[in-house]
Amino acid sequence: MEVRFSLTKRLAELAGFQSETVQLSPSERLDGALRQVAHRFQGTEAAELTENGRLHSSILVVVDGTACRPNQAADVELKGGEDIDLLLPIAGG
Amino acid sequence: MTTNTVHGRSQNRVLEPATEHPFDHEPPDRHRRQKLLPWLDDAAQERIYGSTVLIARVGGLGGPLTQSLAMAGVGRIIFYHDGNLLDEDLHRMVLMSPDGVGRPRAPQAIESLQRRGRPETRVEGFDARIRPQDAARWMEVADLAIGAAPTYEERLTLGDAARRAGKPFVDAAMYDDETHLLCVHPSEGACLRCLIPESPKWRDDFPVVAAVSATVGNMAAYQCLRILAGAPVPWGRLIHFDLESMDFRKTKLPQNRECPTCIAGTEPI
Ligand SMILES: [Zn+2]
Repeated sequence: MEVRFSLTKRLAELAGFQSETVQLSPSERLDGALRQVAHRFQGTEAAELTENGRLHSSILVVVDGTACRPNQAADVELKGGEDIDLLLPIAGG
Repeated sequence: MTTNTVHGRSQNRVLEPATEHPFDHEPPDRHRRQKLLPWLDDAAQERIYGSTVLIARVGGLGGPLTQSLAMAGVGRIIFYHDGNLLDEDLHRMVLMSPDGVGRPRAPQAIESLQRRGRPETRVEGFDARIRPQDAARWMEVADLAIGAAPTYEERLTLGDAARRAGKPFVDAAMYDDETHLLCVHPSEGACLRCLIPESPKWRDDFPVVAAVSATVGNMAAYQCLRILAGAPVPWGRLIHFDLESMDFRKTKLPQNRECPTCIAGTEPI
């Protein structure tokens, strides 16, 4: 199965890409999908938003409109075809 | 020829007889038109007149925000904004003027807000960055805290102080054409620290055009007025508005079970 990630503007600027489709084995959960994204961040400015192959806790993960934290991702089942938004809080004022 | 004073101005002319009875007119009501809004009746307007807000920064985002609050009749505005005005600030900071380049921003913002508010409006500004101890003290008297600073630290300082005091908090932020808005309930649901448990590295010279910072500033001002008036707002929903795509998304924020601010909760009074 596959899921599609979209990154909000600031995060996309750091990572160097705005969207990505990742392939997953049928039993894989959100945790596995996020690890693939964390791997894609390596070598970019977004690498600082990863730790031990996982995404930084300040990245908000929104799966089909429902938000969770990267550290809750192991509990989230995927069925394939989900649109997953990754949102980095911003601070411009 | 006689000298008469008409409405405070000295004019040398013959006084014409009045054609209208001077006491037939009601005093002008500056806020009559906004009180046509269903949620903003006379009682709600009185609540706004009697309200106090505390805000971190009155620049590209906080400037239009506080300007709208002053114009709507907010009774007391307390802000922190350090530093001297740069020429490159003028493209977005509506409370500043070219005459003030090289001088502290705070006095200019006080003067602008005082001019836009009612005669009774109190504006207190500090040429400094807000510290946790400042925020804690001010939240004893403020009805609402607002984050509009270009640092996570100042936003979190206000957000923490508001939750501790059991007061609402509105956070508004932007980057390029991306904007965030969050209304945090005084005591329930996710707070700003739930969203930002660790501050990511920030870019000081973030891209900004006034059309974007003023848009999210005024979206926040509208929610602030609703809170002060006692009208419903989308508590705990992160509003993400991308002005390039014009995509508008509202996401319920999960409360972080390990959030120190939520665990500490509201300080007993
Ligand atoms: Zn919290």
